[in-house]
Amino acid sequence: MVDETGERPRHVDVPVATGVTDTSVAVKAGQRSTFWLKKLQVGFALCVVLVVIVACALSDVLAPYDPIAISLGATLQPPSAEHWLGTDQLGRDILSRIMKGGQVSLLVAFTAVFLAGVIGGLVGVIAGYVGGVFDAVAMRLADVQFALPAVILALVLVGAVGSSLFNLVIVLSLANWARFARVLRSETLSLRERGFVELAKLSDASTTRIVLRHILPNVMSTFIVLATLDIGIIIILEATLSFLGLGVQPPYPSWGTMIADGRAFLEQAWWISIFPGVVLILTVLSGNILGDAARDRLSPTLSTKW
Amino acid sequence: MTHAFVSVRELTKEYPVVTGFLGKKATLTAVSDISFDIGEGKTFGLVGESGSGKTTTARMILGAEPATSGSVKIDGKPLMNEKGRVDPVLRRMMQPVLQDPYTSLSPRMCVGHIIDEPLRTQKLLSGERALAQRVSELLDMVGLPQDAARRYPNELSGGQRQRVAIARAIAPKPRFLVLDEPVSALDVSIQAQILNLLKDLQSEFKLTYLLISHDLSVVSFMSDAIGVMYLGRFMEIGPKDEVLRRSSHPYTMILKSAASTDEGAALPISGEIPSPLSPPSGCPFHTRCPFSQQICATTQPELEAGPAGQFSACHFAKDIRAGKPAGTCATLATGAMGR
Amino acid sequence: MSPLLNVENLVTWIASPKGVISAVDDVSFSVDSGRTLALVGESGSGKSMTCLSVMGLLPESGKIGAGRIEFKGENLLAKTPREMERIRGSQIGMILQDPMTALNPLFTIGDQVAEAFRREKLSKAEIRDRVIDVLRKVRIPAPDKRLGAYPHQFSGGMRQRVAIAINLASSPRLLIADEPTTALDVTVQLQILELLRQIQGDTGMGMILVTHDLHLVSRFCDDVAIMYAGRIVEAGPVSKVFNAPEHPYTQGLLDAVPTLDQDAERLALIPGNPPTMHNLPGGCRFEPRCPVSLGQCASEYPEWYRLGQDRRVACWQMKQRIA
Repeated sequence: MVDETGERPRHVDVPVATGVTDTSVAVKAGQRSTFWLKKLQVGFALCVVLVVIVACALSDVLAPYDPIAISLGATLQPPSAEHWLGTDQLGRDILSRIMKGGQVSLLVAFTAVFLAGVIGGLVGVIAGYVGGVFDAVAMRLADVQFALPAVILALVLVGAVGSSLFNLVIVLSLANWARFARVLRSETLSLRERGFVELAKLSDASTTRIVLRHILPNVMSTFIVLATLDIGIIIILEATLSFLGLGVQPPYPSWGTMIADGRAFLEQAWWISIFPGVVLILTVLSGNILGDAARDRLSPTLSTKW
Repeated sequence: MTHAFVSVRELTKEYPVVTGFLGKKATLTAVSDISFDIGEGKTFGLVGESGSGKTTTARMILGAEPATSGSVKIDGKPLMNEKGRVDPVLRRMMQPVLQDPYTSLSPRMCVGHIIDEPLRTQKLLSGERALAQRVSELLDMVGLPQDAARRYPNELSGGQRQRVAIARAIAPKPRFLVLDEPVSALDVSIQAQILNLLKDLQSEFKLTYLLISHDLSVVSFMSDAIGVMYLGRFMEIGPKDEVLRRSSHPYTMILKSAASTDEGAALPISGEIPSPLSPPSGCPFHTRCPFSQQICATTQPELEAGPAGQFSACHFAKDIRAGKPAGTCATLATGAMGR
Repeated sequence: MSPLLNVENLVTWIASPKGVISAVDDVSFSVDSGRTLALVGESGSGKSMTCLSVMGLLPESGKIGAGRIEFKGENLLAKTPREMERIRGSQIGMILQDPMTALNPLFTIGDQVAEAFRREKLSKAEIRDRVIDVLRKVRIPAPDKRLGAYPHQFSGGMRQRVAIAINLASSPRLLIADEPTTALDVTVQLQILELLRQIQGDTGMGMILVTHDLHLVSRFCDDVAIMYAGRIVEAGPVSKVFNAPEHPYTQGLLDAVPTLDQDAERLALIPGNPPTMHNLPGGCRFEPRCPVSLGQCASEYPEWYRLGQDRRVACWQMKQRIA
């Protein structure tokens, strides 16, 4: 029991109940473990993303084999010391192809997210702040994008303009800008009513200044969260298009085409499809975990600290 | 009396509203026929409950919202120019301080930039060094440490944030500040600090204040003249001492009794402020007035001049002033009048 | 006779990202039936956490570190969550600042008040009568016509009345009101507090009123405990504490409130800001802001000094004054 003069250590790291025998009001034990689980998850996701990015970015240096070199003497080899993840029907090293394919996939995904984010974000912020005709038109366009399933929209667009890396990026951004526009528009709408925007207006700040100095910095965290979550979606969409033959063209690998190529050999050589599939899943999953973590970290500042 | 620095005449604000499923159109009168003057270097306090129209009045005076009718003149010049815009010279002359220091400062801007924003946007000062110099002066004036300039608002306490808001407001050397509930979000001990700071700044720079508050004691501490608003109208207006010491409107008396620590002074009041969409007939306050008579429900009392520059919109203002309470509520009125 | 509620040396820890803080530190007070205790303090002083500790409603990050909470002689800290739930449903009521958080927007007022009578086996008509009865007690006009109304159709003051009615339905022995009128207009504030006091007169329940408004304390409360940075610094009957405050913080607080009949040019004030709970001063927590601090104050937390039977002050100044 504590005496009245307060002779007690000031900084307690782990609270120990001294006079309480009861457990009903104690901190729930589960809380601590979920906390650690979360940390573990985020650490894991971070590792995966880093490894994938480094391996893919440096695939030209790191890859053990040339990803497009055909070696008919070593076709359909199972994972071994020589070929860690085996080879495909043309004797190409799967690991090297995953690395090279990831390079393409990630490059496409990052560029597409960036484009979608910038276009969608700007449209959303301007629509939210300026309103009027621009807002109405932009939001109807967004509705159209939402109404069309992304894959179908992409299929139509690629079908119309033909498939090249550049077109792929454009198509993927067009299929994803609306989410950014919608979310950032509603964020802007609420920011517009904040005191500091009102004050800026009353001191003759121009619309450009208000958008640049007051709105954009305050929607940045939302933007980052959205973008992180969007990367996974775009990687999958890209893989889907490549799987359907509309994305990255052979001989260059991409995760989607690799999975598609391996389909015919699933029974004799499962590793051709499975390994790129696993890497794809791990990357997307990690991206989503990081997105959630970013939201947890960034959005409390949105709600509580203001 | 000094000449009127701020002069508000017959200011009215109506909002068209659509009610119900059928979309019936109606008019909501937020502010109705408000007139008052503020002498240079003086403070005018607007008191009232939520929905009384005090914030709308302030927004119209700031030019943040166009008035439906009526005029505002500042330093003898009309607030709105021919194009229906706020005169740029006048805009520079007045600055607002808002109620909630948690939403009135941008969380992603450092204090230095928050404070120098009006200087930049109104091009009053240029050059980073000159701006930094001015920010440092301003921090000094409002009692903040110099290193605050590089901090972000979430690192500051509520009181410190309100100091930042005040520094920002006085940055362009305004002559008129509109203070909208400047302390109601703050703790008691911090409230006193901010109120004192505002008083000091006022005497140092000869600032004119329009102070809006629901707290009669804050208004009474700060103001030279007070206007008591209810449902968009003045119930009573006049010099502080007249309004507080010789109140001649039951609503003022009730607010006074609510702000007093003395138990015996409590005047009975029932109900809540009616919706401005369907204001009561006659005197807007009659539905809650303890002295209400028949005439109050039918005829709206005009603001009538009392002896010492005070105006009251009550049919029985004369009786109350004379110590003759209206109607039958004799004890209540004298009880409140005696103090 | 033992008091209705007795809190002794309560310590409540809250885990925050910056470490564990003692939001409530060595707090003791008691509430008798039919009396109202005001817990006064600025934001972050621990008054709400004290109430949540008593209710057993601490957030997940909170934990009672030490102390005793006795209600009608029973140790509340030894109760299981289910027992606490029953006590909250029947013996201790709580009213919050925002009545909207206590009311479910999807149910009618009548349904929500009736909830409290569900446990008793009553017929529908009986429940209805009881509900109308309770609503009448909190002065809701024409209660029989308002049963079917939803919370959003009510004004703030009316909602708070409904929240009170829900609490009253179970006729609690203790009512904890955490800033019940802060969100309301002054004229409505008075009506609500007047109502609470009348109900107290009828039922003899004990009340804890958490507030930062000293006007309300002096008008509606019997006893007051002034909290600063998690601790009580002064406690006693309102009339005595307010007329002759002994702790420098209490004095400062009372002086800082503007009153209608003063003509002062400036308000007396307490300099500085309250300490952050992560970085508390080593000795008396008020010492950095205290105008009369002694050498001892910076290093040692003051002992309690008792003035008469019912007043206590935690300030080293009292040592000389009493001696």
